[in-house]
Amino acid sequence: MEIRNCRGQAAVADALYFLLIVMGCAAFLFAFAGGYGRTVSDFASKRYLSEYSTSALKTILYTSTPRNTSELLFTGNPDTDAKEVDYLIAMIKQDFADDEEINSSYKDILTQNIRRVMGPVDDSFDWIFFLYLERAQSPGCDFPYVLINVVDYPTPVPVPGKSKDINITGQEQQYYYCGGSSDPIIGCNAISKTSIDNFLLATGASARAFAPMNFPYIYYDTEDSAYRLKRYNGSAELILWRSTKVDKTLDAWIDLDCDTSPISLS
Amino acid sequence: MKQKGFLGPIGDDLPSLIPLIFALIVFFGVFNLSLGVFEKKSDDFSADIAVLQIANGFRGTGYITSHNDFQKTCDSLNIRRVKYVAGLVAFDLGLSNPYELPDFFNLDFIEEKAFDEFGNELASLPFMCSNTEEELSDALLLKPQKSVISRVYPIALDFDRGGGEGDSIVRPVQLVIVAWK
Repeated sequence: MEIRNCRGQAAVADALYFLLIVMGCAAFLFAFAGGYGRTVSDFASKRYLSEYSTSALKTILYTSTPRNTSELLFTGNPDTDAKEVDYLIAMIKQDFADDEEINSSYKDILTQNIRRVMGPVDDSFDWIFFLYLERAQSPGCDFPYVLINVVDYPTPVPVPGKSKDINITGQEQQYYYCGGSSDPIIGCNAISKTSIDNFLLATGASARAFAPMNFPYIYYDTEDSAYRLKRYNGSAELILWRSTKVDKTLDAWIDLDCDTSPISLS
Repeated sequence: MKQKGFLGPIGDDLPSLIPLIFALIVFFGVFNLSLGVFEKKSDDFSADIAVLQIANGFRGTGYITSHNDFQKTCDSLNIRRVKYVAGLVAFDLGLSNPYELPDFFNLDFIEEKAFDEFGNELASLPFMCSNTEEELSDALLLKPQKSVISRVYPIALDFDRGGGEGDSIVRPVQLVIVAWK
């Protein structure tokens, strides 16, 4: 066979090679277009969350509250607005100073305020807020206030007649006080920063905001026979993570020593 | 020239043109698609960055001291890439009710009342900032190529309750930013 009779076949083979190369390039372009910007998008999302947590912590710490807890801060009418107003965190510090514990009514006001501020991200993120102080002489009593928000997912229920289908409905956000008592006389529990870090290892923290603060307290100086003021160094922290199912039988959850029933919101 | 199967100089290469043309169509098709995706995502990032810049401007130290403070920030913003409306909206949350996002089409901005020396109300100044006269509406959203970004941040506002000098409180409010292209 003369070689010029094979000219058409060679051209087809060349075209097929060209097609193969072009397909490779097209696949690469397609994959690039699909993945383009994923890192930037993740970064923007994390940045938003980080800025949100910082803003939320500042807002919680700055907010005013009525000194008389039965009054309303702002009603729109100056005659009915609370007359005596203070910063919420200042009132909490003042309350802490006398007995080194936060009174339950102040705890509730702080909880309500935190819930309000965290409302916009409550659907998609779980979080923990805590006040921490370095109480060297009573280790283990370092957390006068710990509030955690987790979603309680119900146990999946099989759908009758459909072996593969399950019903998961009724999941809802719940708020728990954790850390038990912070009073060394009543007896403290073993919650520590390590307990919180271990719990966060299971959930994968996304954003963390931190504000250093002091907690003054009054003590009786037996040498001078007088009351004196001292301070604990401490901090307020807010940590967020993507909403995830928390197994309440895990040691990481048990170590937080959260109340068995969530806070009643009625 | 009368060999079997020979169709002429062009006719002989005709079968090879089919995969060649097919390859070119596929390549330019995917190239065009990728370019579209690239431009769309770049536009989205540009809008995201613009919203972050607006948010950073208003958030500042996380504390807004007055309407004047808010307006100064508003005037200093020079954002042209997106149209936006930003402002302060009150939290409205009963203890037992779940949080509801503000209605972005009908934002109810907090107002600061200005009084004269005798305590008479002179004006209500809304905490609102925008770079457009255009209003965000359902109809606007239905237009092709329209994208809307919204962000909500908590922020502390030093708020005058109107009970005379020094009657101010620090109130937690939401900084709401809605931007569209």
